[in-house]
Amino acid sequence: MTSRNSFWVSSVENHRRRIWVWIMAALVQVTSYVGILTVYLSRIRMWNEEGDYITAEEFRQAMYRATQDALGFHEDRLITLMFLGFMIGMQGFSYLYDRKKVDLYHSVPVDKNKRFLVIYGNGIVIYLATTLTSLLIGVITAAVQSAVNGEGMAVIGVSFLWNFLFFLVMYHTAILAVMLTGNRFITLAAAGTFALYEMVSYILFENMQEAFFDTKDSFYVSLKPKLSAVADYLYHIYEIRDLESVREMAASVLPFYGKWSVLMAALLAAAWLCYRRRPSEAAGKAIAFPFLEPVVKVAVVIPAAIGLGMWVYGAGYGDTTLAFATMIAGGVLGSAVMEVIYDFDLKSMLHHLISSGIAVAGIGMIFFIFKEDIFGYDKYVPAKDKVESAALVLNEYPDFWDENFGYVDISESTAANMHITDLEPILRLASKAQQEDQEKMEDARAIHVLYRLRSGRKVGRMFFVDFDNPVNEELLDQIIGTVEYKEGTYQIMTDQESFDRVQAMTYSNGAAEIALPVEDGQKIREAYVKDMARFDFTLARNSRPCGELRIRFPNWRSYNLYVYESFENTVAYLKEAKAYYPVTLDPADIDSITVTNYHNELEGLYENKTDVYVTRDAAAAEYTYDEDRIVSETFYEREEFEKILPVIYPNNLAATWHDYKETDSNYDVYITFKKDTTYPYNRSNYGFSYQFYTGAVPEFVDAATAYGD
Amino acid sequence: MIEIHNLTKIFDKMKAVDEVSVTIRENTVFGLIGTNGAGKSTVLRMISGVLKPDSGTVTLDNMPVYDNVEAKKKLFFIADEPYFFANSNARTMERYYSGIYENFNKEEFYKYLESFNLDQNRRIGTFSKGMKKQLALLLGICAHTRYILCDETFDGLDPVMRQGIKSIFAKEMDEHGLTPVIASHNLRELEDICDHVGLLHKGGVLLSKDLEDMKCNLQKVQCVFATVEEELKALSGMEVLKKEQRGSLRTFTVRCTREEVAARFATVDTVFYEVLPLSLEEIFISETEVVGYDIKKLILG
Repeated sequence: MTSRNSFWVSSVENHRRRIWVWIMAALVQVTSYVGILTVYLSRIRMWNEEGDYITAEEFRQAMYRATQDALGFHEDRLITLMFLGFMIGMQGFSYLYDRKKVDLYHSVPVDKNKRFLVIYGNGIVIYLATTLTSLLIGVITAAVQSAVNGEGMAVIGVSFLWNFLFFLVMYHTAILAVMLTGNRFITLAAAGTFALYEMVSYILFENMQEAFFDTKDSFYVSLKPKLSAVADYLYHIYEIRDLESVREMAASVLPFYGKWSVLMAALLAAAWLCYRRRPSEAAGKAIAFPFLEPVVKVAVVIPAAIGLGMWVYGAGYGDTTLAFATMIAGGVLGSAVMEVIYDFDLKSMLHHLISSGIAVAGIGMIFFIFKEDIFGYDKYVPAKDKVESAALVLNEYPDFWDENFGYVDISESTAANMHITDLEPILRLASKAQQEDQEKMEDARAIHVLYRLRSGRKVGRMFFVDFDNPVNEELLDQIIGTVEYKEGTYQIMTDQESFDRVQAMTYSNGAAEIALPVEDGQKIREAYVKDMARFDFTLARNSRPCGELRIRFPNWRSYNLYVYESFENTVAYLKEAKAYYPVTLDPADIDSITVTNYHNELEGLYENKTDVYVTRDAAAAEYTYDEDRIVSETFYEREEFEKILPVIYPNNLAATWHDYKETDSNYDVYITFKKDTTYPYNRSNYGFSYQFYTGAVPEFVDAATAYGD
Repeated sequence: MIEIHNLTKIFDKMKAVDEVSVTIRENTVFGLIGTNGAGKSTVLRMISGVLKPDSGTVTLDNMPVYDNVEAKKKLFFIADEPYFFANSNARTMERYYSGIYENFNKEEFYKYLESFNLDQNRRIGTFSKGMKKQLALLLGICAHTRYILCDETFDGLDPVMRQGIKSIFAKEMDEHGLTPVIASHNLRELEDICDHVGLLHKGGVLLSKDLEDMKCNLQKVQCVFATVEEELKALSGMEVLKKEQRGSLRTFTVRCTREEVAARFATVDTVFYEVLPLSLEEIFISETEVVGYDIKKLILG
């Protein structure tokens, strides 16, 4: 370098030739920040005019939040940052694609390292200048409308660094892609592949597991990419954005700062190394380093062909032969396409058959491993001494929330809080499930299990258990009877604080709905927790709840707690509060009962006829629509009520584990109360839905709703 | 001095340059002749440090060129299709090169632009091919490097421009010790410029010689001998490369100095004899025919 050709002079010269990049970056960032902010603030103002915000404070907080969302963590920025990273990275080093430019730049006395630094540094300057300017305009716009506060500014600061680091990862990815390729289309494909490869591979892997393994379960353990910044951004932006305080946000993003810093440094080092070694004659070629051609081919063709095969598998209703044939065909075709891309010559499609063969063999091998479950995924039941504890969810999904009444997913909550150490019944259930055919089970229910192994690994599995099997019932009693299960599954067992903030509380027997004093929250909790001591699978399976407690907390969080007759503490409280009403209704309160008979026994006939209808002649079908076989009848007589009411049960009290065969799904029973009754039924409902107990339908009801007359 | 030793470059398993060894002395005009695909551009791109040789060495004043800024400061490479920045004009390019080459003479550059009728504010994209080559040459000349490497730069320049550039080269050689290296596929383009010529064919060097040496050692003699015996006497012991006969007029191309011709013909009885100047083309035809090549097919087309 000459004295006049300082870093600064080179940098300015470089910027002069990147004007359109400046313009594009500025347009993207102004739209991304100022544009989104303007839309958000206008929307809040419009909602305010429509009266959505009751107090001025509510409106102000909404404006603050809008600014914070628009200028802080925003999901759309994933796309804009990828676009900017790719555009700035590719454009900066695009001279490497063109022999004429390479002849100029590589013959002039400019140090190669300094040229890299100038172009690289200028890319960052373009990003920072356009981003900071857009942010400044955004902050001023928000400030003018009194829509920004200190917290918002802090969030903008934290998110700025998050976005900047993500941009750098994308920027370095694009630079590495440029160094490895020789024209912009291949570079774009390569950059996209680098950015998404791990994520797509994991998705494909999970897809294949779900397709071929019966016990595959993503409830507890789902494969998450380890290195993909795109996956990090995509999977975490919403949870970070929704955090309440900037402190929590900063704590959440900190691990990503570290991870992305390492990632971007590694990508930059690789890009630099390739830059130093890249031959000038690579300009215009597909791949800059010929030795990489077979590697890239195999690495791209395998997931692409498998992805295609799995798509066909999904579209072809699980036809494995078709999926396999598609994968192999995709492998052969993909290899040929890659060769054509490498040489820009159709005649090259049969070149390098060894690497094509490796790709196809790899595809076949992967398919075979999954199809035949070579590694025994479905047979996996850990040895008892290798498991530290387990968590499980047994076909019911109660609500969970955190101390701020924020939503917590049941899988997260049970994974964090349920540590069952009596593993014998769980492992026996898992082993037994492998011996049994789900198709032959009377009442098959799914169980999601998380094994926490002593090695630190976590393994998730799902299997079906027959609730009708007495051995299973015993094992389930052992599991559900444990304190760990109850405390892990029912938040009421440990959550005392929420009951100081009860907003509303009612008790219902299915029809009656009685408000309870909110100040009794702790009292009810205490009674219910005591009763839960005798709660087990047998109780839940064989007894029907006599009612349900509905307790509402801030942020629309709520408990729906079944009450059984055996819950003597809770029932005693309800009786004392005059809220207890038996499930069986008094005929004196009833105006009418409408019974609908769906005649499901005709379903087979209907289905057969439907086939005829579809394939031949509509006139040949005896029953063309479901509705044709539905028969309803309304009863008004007290004698009829007296026969019906003792044999029906409210639909909204049907507990999750109850034996569905105990009620007859062929009928719907619809109760209408007298308007002048004092019975405390919910006046906002016009009627209440019930079902007959199986085998208890009165003959006169059957006769009145028979089909055909 | 540029020293090229056993230089080899392979593209896609094909040898573009095959063990080329040439020495380019300072302050001479070196012509690199060869057909399309002979490897001229590849050799120039390796000399200029654009390409890294697969084997062999290129040194410029005893410095390796590839990835060496100090060596590159001494050369200016004009590619067969010179690149100019998008939407740029001569001023833009001057600004770029003057930032890179410390001896770049801006005043001289604008003076030359005027002399060559090149508008400094006109977009280079609107220039003709010849004008772009002129501009590239002027930028190269004004960079005041010791070596200027021109790849097919003179092809297509009109004679007036070529003469103008030739004059500037001569001046620069005198004043700054410039050493132009000019690659061309057309021998006639270089005839009046080069001091030394290297002939490339299929990636290898067929010959590399000073033109003066070649001219001094090859003589074209036209004569009419008195008798056949006198003719035999005159030619005995002389290396005759070519012999033509038209009636009694004989034309010989012989390998010897002008003085040797004069001395020999003084001893024989001739009706008339004259030593004629050889064109570059004739010299090449003679030299390459000796080694079994038909130069007309290679270069003259």
